[in-house]
Amino acid sequence: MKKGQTEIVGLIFIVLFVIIIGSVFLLVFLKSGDDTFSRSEIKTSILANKFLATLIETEIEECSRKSIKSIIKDFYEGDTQCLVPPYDTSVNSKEYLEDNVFPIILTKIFSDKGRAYNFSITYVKGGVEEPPFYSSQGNFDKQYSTIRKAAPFIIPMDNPQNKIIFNLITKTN
Amino acid sequence: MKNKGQFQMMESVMFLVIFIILAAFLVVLYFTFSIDSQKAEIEIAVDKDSIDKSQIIFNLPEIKCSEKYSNVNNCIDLLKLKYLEPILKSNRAYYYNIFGNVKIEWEYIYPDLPGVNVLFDSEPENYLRKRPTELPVNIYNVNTNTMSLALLKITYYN
Repeated sequence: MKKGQTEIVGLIFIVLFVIIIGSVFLLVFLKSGDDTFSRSEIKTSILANKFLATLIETEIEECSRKSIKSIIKDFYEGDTQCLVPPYDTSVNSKEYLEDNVFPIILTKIFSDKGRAYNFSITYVKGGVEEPPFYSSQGNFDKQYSTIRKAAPFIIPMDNPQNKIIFNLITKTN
Repeated sequence: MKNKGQFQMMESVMFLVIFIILAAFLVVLYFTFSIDSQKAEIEIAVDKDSIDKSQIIFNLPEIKCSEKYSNVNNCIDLLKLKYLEPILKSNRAYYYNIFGNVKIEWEYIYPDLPGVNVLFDSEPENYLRKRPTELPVNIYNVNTNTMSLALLKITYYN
């Protein structure tokens, strides 16, 4: 190989090297933009947090128009009955919520709209977690593009060591 | 090759050809990423707009609960909501300036009442993007003194 040819080959190698380094730098630079939350993530997060905040305030007409928050709080303070109109039939408030309230709400907000959920309400007594007051999952094994966990909603009890915790994880596409 | 001069000329031409091909490759690469990046920026701007609009609508003082339930963050007054519907129709231009191209609907979740109520509809005939946002809300009915659960759906068109 002549001296001139060697120089050209060397130059081409340098140019190729610069191009490769430039491309890598460009890719890394463009990839860094993916750190921002996507619309789907923000909306799912808003939905999950607002869901817990609105759920606890929802009043159940069949349980003396008490809010869900109050019904669960009363349940753990000994008042476990709901008086269902029109004859004020006494039913267990936990069973009433399990059978007639939560399935409707979770189905209409999550399952019917193509979302998955993992929802639970647990009671912590003296720092020890008891078996869940309610726990339910819907389509949670399926693959979705976005998964968000709501900030746990904590309802304090009269005894500061006891509390009710609402948890929700939801998945959407 | 006849002589040394021709050979050197060929070398220069080859070098230029390779250099131009590489430069063209770089330019194509740059513009491809640049266009993708601009498209992504437009999508992000539309997403941001849709979320902003949903928050504006959700926090409208015209529908927020007052008095007893003013401390409940996600509370909408049913009576105000019912009265707002004719107001939105008679002041369409004013509210269009605030909302833009949106469709606002709501439906009861609990109690399980059927039907979707349309509050405002300015869906354009032609649009490129459609962004729905769903927000759970509490609906307070002053007549029955009950707090229900509903879903407010705001669809933003761009």
